[in-house]
Amino acid sequence: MALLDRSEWYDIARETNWTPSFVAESELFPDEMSDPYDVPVEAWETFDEPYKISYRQYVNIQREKDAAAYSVKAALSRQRFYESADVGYLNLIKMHYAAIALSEYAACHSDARMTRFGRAPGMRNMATFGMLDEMRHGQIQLWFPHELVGNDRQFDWAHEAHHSKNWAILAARHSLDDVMMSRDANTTAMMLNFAFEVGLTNIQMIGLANDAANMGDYTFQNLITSIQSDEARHAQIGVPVIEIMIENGKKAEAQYAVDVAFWRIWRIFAIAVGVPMDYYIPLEKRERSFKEYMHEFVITQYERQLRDVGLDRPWYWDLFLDDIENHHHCQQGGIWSWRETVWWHPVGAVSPPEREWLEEKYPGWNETYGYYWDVIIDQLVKDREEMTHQNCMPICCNVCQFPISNRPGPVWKARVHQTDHEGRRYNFCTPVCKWVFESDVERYAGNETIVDRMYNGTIQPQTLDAVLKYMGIGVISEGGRDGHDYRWADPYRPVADAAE
Amino acid sequence: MAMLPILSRFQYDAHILAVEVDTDFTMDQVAAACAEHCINHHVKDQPGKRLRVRRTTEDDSAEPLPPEMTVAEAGLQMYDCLDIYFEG
Amino acid sequence: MSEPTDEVPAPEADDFDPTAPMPPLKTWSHLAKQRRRPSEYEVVSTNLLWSTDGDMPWALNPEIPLNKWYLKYRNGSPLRHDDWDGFRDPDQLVYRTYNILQDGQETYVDGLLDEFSEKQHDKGLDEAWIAALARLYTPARYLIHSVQMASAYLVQIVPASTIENCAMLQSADQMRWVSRIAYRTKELSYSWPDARFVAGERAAWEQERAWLGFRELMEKVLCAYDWGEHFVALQLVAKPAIDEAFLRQLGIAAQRNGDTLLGLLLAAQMADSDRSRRWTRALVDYAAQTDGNRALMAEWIAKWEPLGDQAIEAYCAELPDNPEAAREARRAAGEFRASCGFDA
Repeated sequence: MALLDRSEWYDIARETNWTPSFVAESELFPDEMSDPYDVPVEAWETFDEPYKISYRQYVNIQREKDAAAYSVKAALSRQRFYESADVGYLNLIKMHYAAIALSEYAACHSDARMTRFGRAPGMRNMATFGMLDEMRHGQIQLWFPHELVGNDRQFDWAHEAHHSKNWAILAARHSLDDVMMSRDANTTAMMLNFAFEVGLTNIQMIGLANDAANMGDYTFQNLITSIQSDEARHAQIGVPVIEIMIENGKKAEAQYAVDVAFWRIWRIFAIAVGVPMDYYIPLEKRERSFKEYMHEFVITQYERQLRDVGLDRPWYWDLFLDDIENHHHCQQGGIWSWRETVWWHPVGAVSPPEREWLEEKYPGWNETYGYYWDVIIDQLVKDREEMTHQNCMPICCNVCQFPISNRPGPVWKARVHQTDHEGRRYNFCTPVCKWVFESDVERYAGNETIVDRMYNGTIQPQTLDAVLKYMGIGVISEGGRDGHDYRWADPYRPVADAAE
Repeated sequence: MAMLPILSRFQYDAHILAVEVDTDFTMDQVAAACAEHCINHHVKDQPGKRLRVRRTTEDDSAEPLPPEMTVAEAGLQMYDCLDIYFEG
Repeated sequence: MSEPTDEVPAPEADDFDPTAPMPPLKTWSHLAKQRRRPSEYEVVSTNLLWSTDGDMPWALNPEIPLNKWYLKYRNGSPLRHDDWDGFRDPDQLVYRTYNILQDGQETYVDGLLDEFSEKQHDKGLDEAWIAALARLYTPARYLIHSVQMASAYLVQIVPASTIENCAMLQSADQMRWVSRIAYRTKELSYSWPDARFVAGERAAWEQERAWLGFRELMEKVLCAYDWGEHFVALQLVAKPAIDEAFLRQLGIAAQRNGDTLLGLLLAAQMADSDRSRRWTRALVDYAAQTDGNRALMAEWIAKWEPLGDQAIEAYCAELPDNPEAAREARRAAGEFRASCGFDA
């Protein structure tokens, strides 16, 4: 072969910075889109992406990746699988596509910001591949659920969710808009590529892929594994940016960006991944608990990655470790209790063997979350199903937007953290979300959660039905009901009968 | 009288609820309004025990508000957080 | 299970049951309204932006810089249409078909490079032409990269995902050619180590008279932040000028100087530009459905065209063995605009 090796010409393709003379640098690279940190352009030019690929290789590799996923055989096997899949697992799929498809596509903007406003030519080229990757992830994760809208209306949320004002989507949008849509190129690289993609996507891409394989959903496993192979490449944009920031005396700024983003995305992932792993996957198919996956594939690795890049653990590390054992259990309770507000059919999933598993994985579960479910079970066995629904709203956090919750039962840990700003009171779930808000009040002030909208007149009339419609329930699809028709509570009935 | 959303931090519950109360409500009525959403929903009933109301504080040390005191008299504002708890 | 339906029923207020099963659909609810089977392209490409749904692009304070930026340059653009999401790429490319298409194109280019390398093509070129390549061909990676950047600006600022996708693939196309020019730069340097390949391109781009016009044009296009103006300046003025002067007229000079390889490479690049022109023309037509938009776009053309023409003149004046280059390039760029309904 007389073709040159990529290494022979690669550097030339990333020597594309020039000194403008017809417009000012500051006009070509405005701070708010490019680099508000005043790092000299010569420093940015040292950017060296660890993972290198040429356009020619890219289109070839990606073409081959897609060939398998889009085959007729794969489509048929997906269709067969979903027709007989457990409702709990379908919940996982419905949550996943609705939360992810348009979000991945939205990341095209983030990469486009780096392609246009990044000061490092290597970054601009890597981000160009990043844009394409995110286009892939958006499109393929629309194509698959689209095959299922004919089976189940709730799959329409894969496209509609992000156009809705559902509370769960308000949560996703607020954090994604914050982390990847509304920042300059360099902050976006630190927040999205490092904190989000390097830091957290493993839980989805390894953990969820394992669970999917155990379920026999090999096309979903292949899909997310294949997506992760793209992420692993473009996620690398963040590392050199942070290194350059630190070398240029901007460690505190880099630490701040990474810490805000990691927490914000964590709060979402705990729900999108933690709830399905510990409650929706049928017990006999669970390989590890969410906590075990987090420790194995996120915590250890993220600590090392932070160290390698020259950053410290976030100040809130202990609160984060505690949140891993708490947040998703609270939200599983909340999502089930307010189940008509979501586009899937939440399962209680706290039958005796499931509780045994939860207690083993999360010592103390029975004393706390178990107390909460005991009250619900008690009503179910007394045939007072109506008592298991809620007719008021939980107050939501003005940063993460989730219902403000903490361990129930005798320990009674629920607590709201508040701040008053310009005559308005803001509510937070944890000291960390409060810190995020207070660290940049001008950015976060004015936020309206679904509950704030109820009381400020945005949602009219002030009825639960109106709130549900506002959230797309009964409009895009029906809302949720218990996915297993309360069968998980049956084992408790004889005990209750005997007691009476 | 006017409706005011306060935050109900109800003993044993996992969530903090937004509950609308009337400014004329006494603390007993506030407790009852909050209990309606929690007892036998997420909190076990404790028949015979009285529910008390206090302002939420860092160390849970606030004195209970008098049962007959109204929301207006207590000076409660939107999103003020109250502990609703079983006495004794 | 009930049959899939096209209808998107609005629930009645009085008998609202939030959990009553709704009938499944044949396609996304938003596409069900068009009452025909949607293509794969439509299923995966349409209505994907959430930031155009409400008044505020990002769910943060209206005063943050990026909300102000999008309010001003996107939502506030004088180029308006009630339904930008209705735009469709005439090529209906999706990610996976783009890769199939371009993998094939790149295989073709690899074949060219391999074949001409085997034949020791570069050594056979004459010295004067080599000097011309070092001045007029290899520095173009800066120019093409500036189009990569400008296209990426469109990606983040246009008001519909179907427009965004066209811009995204266009940005990727530019990186394709930045890479191929870099490849050729290195390869030429092996045969002609004294011709300042690799070492000289930045200085040429920044200082050579031939490039001044294009550099001025692109620096100013990159700073045209209103999305409508950016679209017009890039797609209707800058790119056509680059296509006609750099791709077409340099290609003609190459053929006259025995550089068959460069002629073929530029022709291959032109295939990407042709695709770009198809969606550009389609978007002009689509925008022109709204009264006033055609006149507005014509005003922007009038503003940018002199810079485009000046770039063509400066570059073409330096092309060897192609005295007609500037006139032809200007004519052809104008012809493209005329094909979009803008007469000179």
